[in-house]
Amino acid sequence: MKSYVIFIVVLWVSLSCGKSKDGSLIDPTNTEKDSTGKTDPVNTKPGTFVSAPGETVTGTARISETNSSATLILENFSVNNGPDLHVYLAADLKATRFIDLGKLQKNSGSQQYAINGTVNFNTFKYVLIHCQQYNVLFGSALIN
Amino acid sequence: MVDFAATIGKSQGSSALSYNYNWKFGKRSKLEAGLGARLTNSFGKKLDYTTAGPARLTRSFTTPFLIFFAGQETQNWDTITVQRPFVNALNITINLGYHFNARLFGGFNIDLIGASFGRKSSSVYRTNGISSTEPVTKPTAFNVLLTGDHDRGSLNSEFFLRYQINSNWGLRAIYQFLFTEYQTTNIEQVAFDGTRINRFRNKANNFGLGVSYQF
Repeated sequence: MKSYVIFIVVLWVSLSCGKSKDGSLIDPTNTEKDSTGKTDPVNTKPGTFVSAPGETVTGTARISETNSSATLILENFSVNNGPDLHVYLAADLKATRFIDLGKLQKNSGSQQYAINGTVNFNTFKYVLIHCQQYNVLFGSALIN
Repeated sequence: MVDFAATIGKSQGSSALSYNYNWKFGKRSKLEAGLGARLTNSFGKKLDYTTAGPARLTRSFTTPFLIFFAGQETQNWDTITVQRPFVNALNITINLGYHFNARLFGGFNIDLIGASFGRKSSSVYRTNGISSTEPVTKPTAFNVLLTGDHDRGSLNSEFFLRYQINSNWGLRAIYQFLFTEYQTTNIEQVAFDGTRINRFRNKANNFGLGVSYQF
């Protein structure tokens, strides 16, 4: 009987050994897969935010890039309150492919977001203010 | 016996209502085994779900039962973050336990087969640093215990100690291992061999309490 109980305990421990791990495929230092190899720093002209229906987003977005880093700069920015707002660099307005630059820092005022890795801004040409939790677009700016 | 349990873990929790019928074995009837039915509700916020098989891609070997000891092939895993997961899993369970004395009982139970339903949610699929929005992610409908990454669906299991307060009521301290599974509808992971995968699993280790009533 004791051996039976031990068997159950061993079985349980074995199950528990399958504990989840984080998706380790994701390398935050290499957030862009485009391998075209870009050499010239990008400094885009400001793109003006366009509000999605029912939302209010104003201001501009531009990319400022040096040889070592790139930054998304939001200026004169304002958005109405919303849950779980994130800033995406996206290939389209539906966020079917995007790079998440993180949570929106504040609802109004200028702010900057570091862009890790090499990004092809011809592909990821939209800045989206996106409610991630409910999958709702608040506003977008074309930066290309 | 009817039992209600609640557990909590990192960014998630669960509750479970079950009915169990056990038979006693052994010379002094200290051993119990039986079957039951359990409805488990699990919920959370922004939970990560990783590739849920096939086992030949996610584990180093796939022999049933021995797969518990197989290495995890994490290079073949992708992740979806389900924004508002809520899964109800109704499963048949198997129960095993041992009476240490008149009041203390140690047991183990695990879901065998059943069905799941729950809330659809958007999710964010991530692979190699690029994200995609999956508008509709839904719980996998069919659950079956096949061991390790052969499993499908949402399966609950518990290791517990029950203290019998009186002839009817008991209190349980629970360590729970809970699988929940969601399926994408638009986005698929494409493995290196071309296998297309749309099932993703969250595995949680939770702690909780339960109360039991013996008829």
